[in-house]
Amino acid sequence: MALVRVISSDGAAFLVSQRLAKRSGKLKTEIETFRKSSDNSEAQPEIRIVTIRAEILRLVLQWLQQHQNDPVLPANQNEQDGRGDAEMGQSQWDRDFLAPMDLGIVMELILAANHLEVKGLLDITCKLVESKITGRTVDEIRTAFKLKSDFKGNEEEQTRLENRWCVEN
Amino acid sequence: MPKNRKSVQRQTRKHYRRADTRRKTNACNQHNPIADVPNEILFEVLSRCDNKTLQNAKLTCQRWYAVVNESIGVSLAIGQACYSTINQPKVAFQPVEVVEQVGVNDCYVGELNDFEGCPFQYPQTVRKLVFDGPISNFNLLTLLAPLPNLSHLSFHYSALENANIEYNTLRSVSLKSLKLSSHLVNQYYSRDKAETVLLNVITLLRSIHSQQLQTLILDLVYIRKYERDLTKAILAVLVRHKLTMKTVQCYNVLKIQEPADGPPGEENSDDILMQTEEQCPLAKEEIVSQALHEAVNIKRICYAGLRDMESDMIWNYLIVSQKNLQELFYMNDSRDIQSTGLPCLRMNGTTLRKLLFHINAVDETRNIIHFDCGIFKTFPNLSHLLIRGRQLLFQHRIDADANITRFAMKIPILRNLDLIPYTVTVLSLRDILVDAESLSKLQACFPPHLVNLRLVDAGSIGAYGIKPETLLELLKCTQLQELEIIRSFNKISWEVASGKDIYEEALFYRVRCMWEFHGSRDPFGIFCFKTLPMFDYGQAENTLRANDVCEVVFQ
Repeated sequence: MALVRVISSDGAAFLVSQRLAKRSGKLKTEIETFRKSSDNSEAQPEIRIVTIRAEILRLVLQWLQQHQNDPVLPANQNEQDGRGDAEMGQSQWDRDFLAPMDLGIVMELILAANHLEVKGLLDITCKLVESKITGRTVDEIRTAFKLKSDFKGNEEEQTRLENRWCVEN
Repeated sequence: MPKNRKSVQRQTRKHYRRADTRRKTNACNQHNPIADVPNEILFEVLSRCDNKTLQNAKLTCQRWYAVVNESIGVSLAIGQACYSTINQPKVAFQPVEVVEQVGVNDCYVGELNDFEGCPFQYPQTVRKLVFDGPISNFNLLTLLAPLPNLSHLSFHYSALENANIEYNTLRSVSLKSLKLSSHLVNQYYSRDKAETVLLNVITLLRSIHSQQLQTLILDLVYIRKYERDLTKAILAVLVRHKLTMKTVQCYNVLKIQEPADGPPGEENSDDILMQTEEQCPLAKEEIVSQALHEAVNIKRICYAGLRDMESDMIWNYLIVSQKNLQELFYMNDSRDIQSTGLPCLRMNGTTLRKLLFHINAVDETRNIIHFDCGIFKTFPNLSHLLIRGRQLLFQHRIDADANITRFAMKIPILRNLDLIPYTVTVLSLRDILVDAESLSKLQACFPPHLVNLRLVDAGSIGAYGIKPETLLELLKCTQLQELEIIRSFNKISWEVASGKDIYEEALFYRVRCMWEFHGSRDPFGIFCFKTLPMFDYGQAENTLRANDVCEVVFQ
């Protein structure tokens, strides 16, 4: 089985089968460029990802492994198993997978999924974050996301007023 | 190792930080992945939220404010205005070349030609696209192709005239609603164009594979040649989206003339033959039986039109097989109700809440239709009941008042109105003769929730229409919030007999019940009462909504 070495920002190396790695758009292009540039077709590609640390990379690979048999295009998925949109891509395994993470890890996971172009993971993590915003008040969002209000003076009040008609509906 | 890690992290942050100067000043000293997400990711997350949440989110800090402003709410109208949609955009149309807005949420596309590229800076925010006027096939495809989050798509007929829709055109988008409008298309519309459009529609329907299609609205022009394919394509869409489909509207109120060189008389003979299932070849198709077994969870069906017998029959089967239908609007103007319309009332009606039913005047043998309200006893949860007979032109209305017997031959008659379910809140009867006796019986045991009663052209001779004494009794009834009686009572005979003026009498009740009165002393007797808005708002809203529904369907 053809393997590929994926190295995280802090130097940890993961040996991954190329079939699995190719489910990430980024790794796929990297592998292909490596193939083109190297003369030896037997050589094991080595990909250094400078933006993702080992802990996060492990999670991404774990997710990829779990979902390795999913169809790449989500378009056909629904039709075959007949599940609704809500359950689609959000299996019990995914829920258990995401449950113990704090928001910081999830955010890093989103960054990683975005960087590695893993659409399914990006979807479920974004959905998770979205569910943490939905229905919260402004202050609750600020605490959850560790944000500081940086509106000057009465700027915030003005913004509130300008949106009043939307909020009341 | 730790040193290495630190430097890499710094590099990472640099990578994320881009040219956003505002963020640079706020960046926390320690690495905080939450506050530090790049705008694209924030955008990715926020563009999934609903608008109300976004209003809160944008007040958290300046960066979020900027991102939210990009990701929601901007409406855009490009190209030249065509005025072919009913709901005009609230923003002015602008030339494509100067589009600068980011975060466009919905976009109207007017007449557009010779334009290259994608006008949207952030195509992923575009949710709704309305094609409103003639557009070249090339531009149609270039606009559709790069929009990954498109969920509402609407076409006007003119937008599909030059199009050449292929199977993969909509392959990558996941639509929530699809609409086709034929507003302003009239019988002089070119047949060639109508055929092109219809072919495009059929391809479009066949190619939709969305995970979340909920609404399908088709306002079509009837062309007999494609009717069978079209019905099959619609049913296939219903089967494919059986879990998500909620609303199906299929209107067909315009018929394009068949070409003169076609075989004469074929159409009519075909229609008469198709009266039983055995003679209806479409009913034997596999997709039909599949649809009747699987696409049974639709919430709202509006079906109107001039379809041929065959399609009518299929649609009737589809309606009867529904298990969770809540609203049914059934209008079938040109055909005979006994064989096409009534079967759909044999459905399982326990879930049905709103029913608008159009009764045609005469059956095949030119007999008047007597419609018995006893049929509604199988609809125990009905709250809105709107029945409409044959609409008469104004000139005919005058004639009808002058000489009702001549017109009684063409206006259907409603009997046993007192048998309607007790749950009805809105009752509207138009262009149908209503039995005066059953109306006074209804008044005697008044449905406890009825708040909106409307009679239009319900007859104005003694046996049909409302009796003036019943009308005055109704005025005493405080639960009624809207009472509209138009050309439906005979005031003259009553006034001659009792010596009282009915409008004076009505004004007396107005003082007692705080009604708003729009009376008219013309011979046709227009008579509208509305409670002043100080009454129950919730109920009034209900009735208003009922009116809206009514207007939409009768547009």
